Amino acid sequence: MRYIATILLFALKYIALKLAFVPLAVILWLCWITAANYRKLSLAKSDVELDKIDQMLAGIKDKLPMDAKIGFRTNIDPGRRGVLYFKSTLILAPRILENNDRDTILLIEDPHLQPVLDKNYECLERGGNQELNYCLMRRRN
Amino acid sequence: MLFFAMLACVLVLFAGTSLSLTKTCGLSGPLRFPVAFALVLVILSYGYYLGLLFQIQIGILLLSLGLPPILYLAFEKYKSRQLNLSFPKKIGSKNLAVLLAILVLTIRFNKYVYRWGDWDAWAIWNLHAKFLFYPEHWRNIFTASLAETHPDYPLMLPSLIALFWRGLGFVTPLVPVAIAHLVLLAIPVTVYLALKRAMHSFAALLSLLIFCVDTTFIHIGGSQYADTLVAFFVLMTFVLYQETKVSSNRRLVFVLGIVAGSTSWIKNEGMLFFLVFSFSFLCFHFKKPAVIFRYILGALIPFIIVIHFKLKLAPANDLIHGGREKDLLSLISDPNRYWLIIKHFTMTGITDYWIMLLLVMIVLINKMPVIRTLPFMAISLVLVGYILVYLTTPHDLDWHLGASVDRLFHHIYPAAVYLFLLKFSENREIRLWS
Repeated sequence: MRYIATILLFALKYIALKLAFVPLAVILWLCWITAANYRKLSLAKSDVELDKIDQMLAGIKDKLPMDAKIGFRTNIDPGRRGVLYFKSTLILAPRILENNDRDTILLIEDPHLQPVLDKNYECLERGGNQELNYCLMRRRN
Repeated sequence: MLFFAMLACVLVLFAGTSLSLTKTCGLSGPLRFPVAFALVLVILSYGYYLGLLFQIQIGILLLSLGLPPILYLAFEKYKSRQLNLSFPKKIGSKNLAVLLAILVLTIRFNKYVYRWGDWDAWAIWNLHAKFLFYPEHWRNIFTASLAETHPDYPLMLPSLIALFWRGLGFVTPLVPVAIAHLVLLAIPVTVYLALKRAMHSFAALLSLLIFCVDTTFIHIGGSQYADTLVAFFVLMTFVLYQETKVSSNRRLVFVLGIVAGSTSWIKNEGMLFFLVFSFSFLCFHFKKPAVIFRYILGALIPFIIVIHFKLKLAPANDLIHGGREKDLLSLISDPNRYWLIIKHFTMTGITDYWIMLLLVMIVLINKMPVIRTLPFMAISLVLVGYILVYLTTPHDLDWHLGASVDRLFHHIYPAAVYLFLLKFSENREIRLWS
């Protein structure tokens, strides 16, 4: 305890002697707003779509080996397709998500749009959130 | 535990680098801290990339990065019987302006920044970093199936993000945010310290004001793209170049070579800058073979790494390759494309970079002799290079210009502010109108 008190006293003396009050106040303010911002960014309320898709696809990450190559499909328009493809690629990396069909396909669907139906594939895993559904499909033998 | 080891490694690297800049390169004063920051980024990035390439365990990598500066610091302590890292001991009114600028920039940065950043941040830089996070599978990024994610882009930013993720043991969007924050702050601090070092206090304060009020600058910084990192290294190249002009220590030219060469490890545009800066440097120093030799020696390390990456790992770039030789002539000879480029350059200049235009106008009005200088030659050649890339782009030109002109100007913007303010401060009789 005595050692801690000595160290604290030394630190206080150093601050009092070496630092002027205004710069110290600026530094403390800077530290506080930086810490507050990083805390805010780590809260669930700061989650963006990428975090929501990440939570949605959490279940299938364990089922796919790290060097898996899977295809990607969606029922959403081409502009939005790119967004979902890149976000899914980031989430599933280092697995390779191809922007076309393979034996295993990740299908992401907007539940309000026409669903993708393909009799050649069977759904292995299904899930979703309020905005999107997903299905991990395997080609039928 | 690994994270604390990594933090300790970064700290000793920073301390060792800043001390060696003073002891071996003669770079004293606070300017050595941003220079050391740039060199630490370079060392960590190359170290992590080479660690992946040669399958070195992260613990051994950190040890091999941290041990040399520890030994160097110990050696210096032994030599002088007193370890003097000479960090600023008094933070008084002299540094208050820069502290306030950091505060304002942080407040404004916090307003713009959000998890995972803008499109390119998650679709390119964080995505590449996620692959580099897995040392056994990182080469998956180079498969042809992922060509849309631009795996040919250099890896400085992704490797830095991946290194800190490895240290933490998990993937978090706070790491790219922290890197973007530090790099954004490093730019005005570097300009301020460089101008202060040249005894131009008013220009130094003015530069802080310019960066603090510039929304475009802070917005691009907050987007977490690699463009601000390019801007920092371009600025650092010119700052070091100015230092080599006034310093008698030629070892600084070696550092200049490393920094200029490392610009090509950030983005492909950085490669263009490195080539034109090196060409300009050779033109201006062809009578000094010793200087050129030191520059080439410094630039050789990044050059070899980038060339190896481009030739052995990265797929072909979509702008350069693709068997489009026959189309190029028709693209270059189309006057509408020139007109569109001029329109976008002018509009972006007026809306986002009016400060730079104002500075250019002051130079023109005062007929300042800037044309026969290395920075003017290098920046002009960079702009010519940008125009050539746009003329020959396989993408829709209007879309390509709209998506990137502001960021290309961002690359040279801090360096231009620094160089113009330096020039004005050297010329005492400036007229703001004729």
